[in-house]
Amino acid sequence: MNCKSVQNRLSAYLDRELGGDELLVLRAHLSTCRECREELDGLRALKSLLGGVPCPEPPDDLSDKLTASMLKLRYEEPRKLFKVSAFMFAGVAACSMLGTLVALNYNLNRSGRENSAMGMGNMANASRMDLPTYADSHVSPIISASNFGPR
Amino acid sequence: MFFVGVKEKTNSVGDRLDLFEGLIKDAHRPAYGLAYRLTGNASEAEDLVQESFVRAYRFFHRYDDSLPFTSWLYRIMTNAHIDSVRRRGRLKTTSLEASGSDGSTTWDLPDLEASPDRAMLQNSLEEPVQKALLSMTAEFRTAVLLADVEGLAYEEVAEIMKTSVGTVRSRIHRGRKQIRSYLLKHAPKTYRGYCDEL
Repeated sequence: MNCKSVQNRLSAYLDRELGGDELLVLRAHLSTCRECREELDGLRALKSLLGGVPCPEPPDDLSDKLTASMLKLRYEEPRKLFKVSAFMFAGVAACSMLGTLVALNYNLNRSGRENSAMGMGNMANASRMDLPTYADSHVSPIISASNFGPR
Repeated sequence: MFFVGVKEKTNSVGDRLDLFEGLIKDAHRPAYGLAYRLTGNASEAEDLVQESFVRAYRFFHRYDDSLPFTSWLYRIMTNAHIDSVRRRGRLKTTSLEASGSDGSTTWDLPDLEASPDRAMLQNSLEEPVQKALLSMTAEFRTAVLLADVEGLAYEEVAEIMKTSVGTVRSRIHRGRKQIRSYLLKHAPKTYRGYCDEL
């Protein structure tokens, strides 16, 4: 470990956030390097300074103001709940309408398909009418009856 | 601990209000201290504390009991602070190394001479320290304050800042170096005197 990588770890070392080999290697380097030791001392002094900065006192009425804010929120809550309910109602109504539209569309498509299928059937029957009579034995009695009429 | 298991007691709005009255009493002092260090002045600190408690109250259903309430409150506060700084474009702060040698750098600070908070600045290094803190990015400032002023472990800082321990380690180290550079540049005699006394 060179001086640069040691110095990058000095804050973590100071905060006891290093462990294992990293810690051992760093300690070994510090025992032989004066420059890194001085850097460590500088950071230690700074840490001590920052930790000793007095905590500013809050205004006397801050606690009361905060409690008043909470009370205000308490009275806002039912209105907020109503807003959510209104949104939920609108969402449910929109979903219902969409569902109805989809169902209608499905039914329309289905009946359209049935109609076209019937049309296809007629066409098939129509073409079958042109078939030669040797196929008579293979067609169903219904088809043969409907297409070829009474014999 | 007082804050552990608080959620079970808050089945109704009234319960939650009672609980928050207790939380405010216990936590408003340290919360204000951190807010003051983050923002640099009393008025913004008060707003930040207020906003943090309001958010905590509103989103209390998201509070995870495994985390102490103060840590959760600090998380809310640091996020609110970073958001606010970003909104105001304050993240474009001048790097300490890059600040003009002619002293042309202007700091976004209240006039401490005229401020009633002047009485709180008990030693001569407090003001330069606060200026150094405010000259950093909100992320660096938050990491340094949580570790050095609040005395939290890197893992706790990472938890609060929702980042990795490696990132926290780097932010704290670089942040401290920036503060030291600032002090050596703007208050060299006092800072060296302080170091010599240790």
